[in-house]
Amino acid sequence: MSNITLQMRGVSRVFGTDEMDTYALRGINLEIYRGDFVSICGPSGCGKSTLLSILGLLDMPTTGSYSIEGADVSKLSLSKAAYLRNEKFGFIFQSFNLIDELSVFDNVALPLRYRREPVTDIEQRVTRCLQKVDMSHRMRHRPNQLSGGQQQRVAIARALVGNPVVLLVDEPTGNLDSRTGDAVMDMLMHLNSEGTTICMVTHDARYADMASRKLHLLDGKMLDEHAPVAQELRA
Amino acid sequence: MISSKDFAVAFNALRTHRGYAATIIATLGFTLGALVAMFDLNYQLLAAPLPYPEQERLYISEGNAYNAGKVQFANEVPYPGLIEAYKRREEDFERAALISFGFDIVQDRPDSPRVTTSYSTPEYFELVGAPMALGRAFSEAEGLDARTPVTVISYPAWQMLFNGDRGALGKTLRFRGTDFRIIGVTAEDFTEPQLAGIGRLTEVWLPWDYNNAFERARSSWTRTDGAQHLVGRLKAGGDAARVQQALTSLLNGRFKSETASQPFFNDMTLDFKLVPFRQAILGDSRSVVLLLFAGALVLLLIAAANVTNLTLARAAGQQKNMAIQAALGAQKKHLFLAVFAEILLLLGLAAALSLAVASGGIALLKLLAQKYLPRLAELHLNWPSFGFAVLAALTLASVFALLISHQINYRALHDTLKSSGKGTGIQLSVNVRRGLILSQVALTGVLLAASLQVLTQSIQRIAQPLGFQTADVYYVALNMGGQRDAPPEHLRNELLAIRSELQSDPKVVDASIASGTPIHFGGDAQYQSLLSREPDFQQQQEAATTLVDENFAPILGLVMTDGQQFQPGDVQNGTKSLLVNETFARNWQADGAVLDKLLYWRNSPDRGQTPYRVTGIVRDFTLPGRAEMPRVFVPQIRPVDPVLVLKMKSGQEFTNTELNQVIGRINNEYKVAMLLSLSRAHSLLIARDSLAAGFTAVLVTLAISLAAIGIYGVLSYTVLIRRVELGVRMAIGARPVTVFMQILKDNLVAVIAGLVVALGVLSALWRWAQGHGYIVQASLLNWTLLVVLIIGLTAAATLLSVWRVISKPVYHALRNE
Repeated sequence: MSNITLQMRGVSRVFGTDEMDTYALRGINLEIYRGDFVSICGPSGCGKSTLLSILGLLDMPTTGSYSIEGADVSKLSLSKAAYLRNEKFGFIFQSFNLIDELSVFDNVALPLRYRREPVTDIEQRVTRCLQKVDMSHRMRHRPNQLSGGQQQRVAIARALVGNPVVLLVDEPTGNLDSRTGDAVMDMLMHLNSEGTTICMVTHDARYADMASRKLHLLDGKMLDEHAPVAQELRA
Repeated sequence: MISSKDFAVAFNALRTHRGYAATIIATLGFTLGALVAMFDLNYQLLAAPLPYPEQERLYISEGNAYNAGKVQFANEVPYPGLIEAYKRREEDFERAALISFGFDIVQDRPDSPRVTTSYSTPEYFELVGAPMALGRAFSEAEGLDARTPVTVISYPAWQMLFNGDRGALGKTLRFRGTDFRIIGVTAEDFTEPQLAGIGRLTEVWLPWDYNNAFERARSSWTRTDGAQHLVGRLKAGGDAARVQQALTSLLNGRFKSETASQPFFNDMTLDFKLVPFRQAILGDSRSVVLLLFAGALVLLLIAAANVTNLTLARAAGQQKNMAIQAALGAQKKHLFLAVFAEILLLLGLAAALSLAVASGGIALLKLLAQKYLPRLAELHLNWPSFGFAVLAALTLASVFALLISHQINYRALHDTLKSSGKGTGIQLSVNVRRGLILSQVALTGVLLAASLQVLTQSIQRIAQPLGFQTADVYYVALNMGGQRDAPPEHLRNELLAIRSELQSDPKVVDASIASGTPIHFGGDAQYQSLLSREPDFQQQQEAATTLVDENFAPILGLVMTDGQQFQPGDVQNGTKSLLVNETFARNWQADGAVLDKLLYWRNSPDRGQTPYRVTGIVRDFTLPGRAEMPRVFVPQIRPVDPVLVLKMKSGQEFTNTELNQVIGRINNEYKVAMLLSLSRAHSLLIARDSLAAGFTAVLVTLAISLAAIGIYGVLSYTVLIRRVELGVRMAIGARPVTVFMQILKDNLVAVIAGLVVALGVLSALWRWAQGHGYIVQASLLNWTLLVVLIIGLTAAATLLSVWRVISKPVYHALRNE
């Protein structure tokens, strides 16, 4: 059985306006395997977030192919893309993106409600996930009553509750102090050690090094994974 | 202070948001325009001075006869009493005149045109300051008892009768056998006070001596002829209440002494009121125009709520610009002035549009509503209306700007630049957003429900069948000229001969002689008489009475529910039979089975001595907007003021001239006074309903459009500020349809609450209407339609506002693009 979870071949993303075309990604080839912890690094504007968006079906490639567990998902309807996102991915954002009008419990339960899971199942799984991130004691709180680190842990619980194939993480420590950021990274490492596949965008070299694979982007192109980064930059 | 730079910046900003600007200018322009037109109307009717000299001192008399404290005869003063009041006028009035209103036909024209007439003493023209286009008004030599046959005609009558020929002066017009010499033409811009009813304008003035009161009435204190008045200008400092009390006392005293020998009048008293010209002209229009103003105000409030939503959405979209300005040192007042400049520009353009709309609205009112509202000829945009438009625009601009600036969280603006888009410095609370939707829906619901109710009732009245034929049926009123005083038998024979002539005309199917038809020009007023089961008339019933021949029922297609119609020979033989309608029958006996029963008729030739037998029961008529009255039909030819009812062949009709020729073969004195198809009479009867239906259809369309704009405005604002949240939901798996349903569900709560509030207001209005005697049928169908319409609008507006989020890849929403 193939171990490849996500695979991209020749993926490009072009943003066009009346005046010009901007190539955010050029000819990206990429495989992410089950159990990987992949970090994607690069300077500002290199296309990291765009790549993560396409990986998470938040955007579609202009050219090239993208498949998830062997199925081509390059051209999906918005509705089908939403379904797959719900089934396959968990998202962790830099600014947490919790919904203030909902309680911690309801925030975490949201992906399961979109799947129309039974109420009892939802309750069990949400409680389990919140215990995992040590936030079960704040189930009835609202996000704006929590600290940044606590909000990020809730966001991790929400990302995990649907048993995703891959966790997509966008600058998870960007809005946190270093101590809290370390704690979040520890949690991610722990999740990976338990078998969760993680793909993380970061510009923090320390955290990038924690990943088992490091991918570098420059001007929309993927640099050779195994080549020293400095050499590529000079080139 | 706002500078020209602020306006320049605002103008440039609006140029790039043309749709937004156009929506606000159009929304406010039209609704403010409607309100300005209604303000103008109210000002004209309720506040603007009348265009007559010393108008505040002008009065018209109104007398009533009371029996045991209740009004027995309204607006009728005994003729000799009125003359006495006129003769002593100098005691209380600076100037006073007698005036009476009627109509007549011009006998010396082949088409015998019908004209509205007024009969007055010379002072009338000075009282109303009537300017003349040609000649002069009546002089003292043509006053009371002078019997000088002269006439003054109106400008429109001069155009109609003489094509504006200046040689009309000195020519004559014949009325009732007398030639009246034309001595003057009133000016085109003369605004005659409409004292005899809205839209009733005089075409021919004749001296008072020639008024159409019966000879017997002129000397009788017990017979009244109506439509006769004293008009006058009180002396400066005079007290109208004191004068009317003095005149009441005088007239009542004379009435009592003149009727002392007649027990019937023992309990009757007279009063003599003085009604200000303004009040007499206005009639019962005050409530109508105030209601129109209220309706326009509600429209403007809906529009204002819409614009509030739109401007808030725009402000939310401008938060980044505001944040940058704040970072560069702009204080809250600077931000307020920038917002105010933009809104002022929009409101200024809306105010300009509103004046154009108001002008159009006024022109439309003058075209369509002359018969329903007084003083419309004087209506035009004036300085008070202009001032009102400017004031309203300034007020709205200030309210909008203050509302927006109140919502700007100045401190939070700084965070906008720092954060990745979470939260906003300009945000309405959920409750305020829901309140805006609730108010939109409540206002629209009330307006739509009321409009739909009026529309439904108007359409019902327009569409309902009358219960008798009108197609190709004509009502012909005859003027008998000098023949009026001929022996009745002679007149009956002549009428029968005329009927015969008409029946043999190739255009005519059949002809009938009657005293009237169920509808005719002027509505359905009917001659009433009393009937009783017993000869002593202790218990009597009043009924609309029509004297007919045997052709009347077949021509009008009257449906018999029992018995039979009149037979040939019933009229000739003076058969004592009657037809009654179902209402009369039920009033008499609960089961309505009154066939073959006997009735005594007060107006029979023997004054009710011999009973009549009920030989048939006629199905009730259904006239629009009124309950059916009790009716009887008597087989008799009334020789005086008869009516011919003609059934024409399909597509055939007579002109006045042609009819006069046919009738003239029998007697040249008879002239057509009025020729009117019953279809046209029906149209006149439902004209008010047709106008109401048209007006409310426009109102419904306008209200729906405004509601759609308003609900869309607040929903697009909601979506705008929730864009990131919606992006997150979609990122974790919410499908586009799920997002749509989420927003719809969030807003339906407020929509339903708004509908509940509207229902509450409508219930209160309905109870008020019932309590004040207005009959309003609550319609479940209308209410259901309204609910479906508003929920449908909400769903459509939701889809439209959420479309730009759900139709694009999710990353756009996450980046708040």
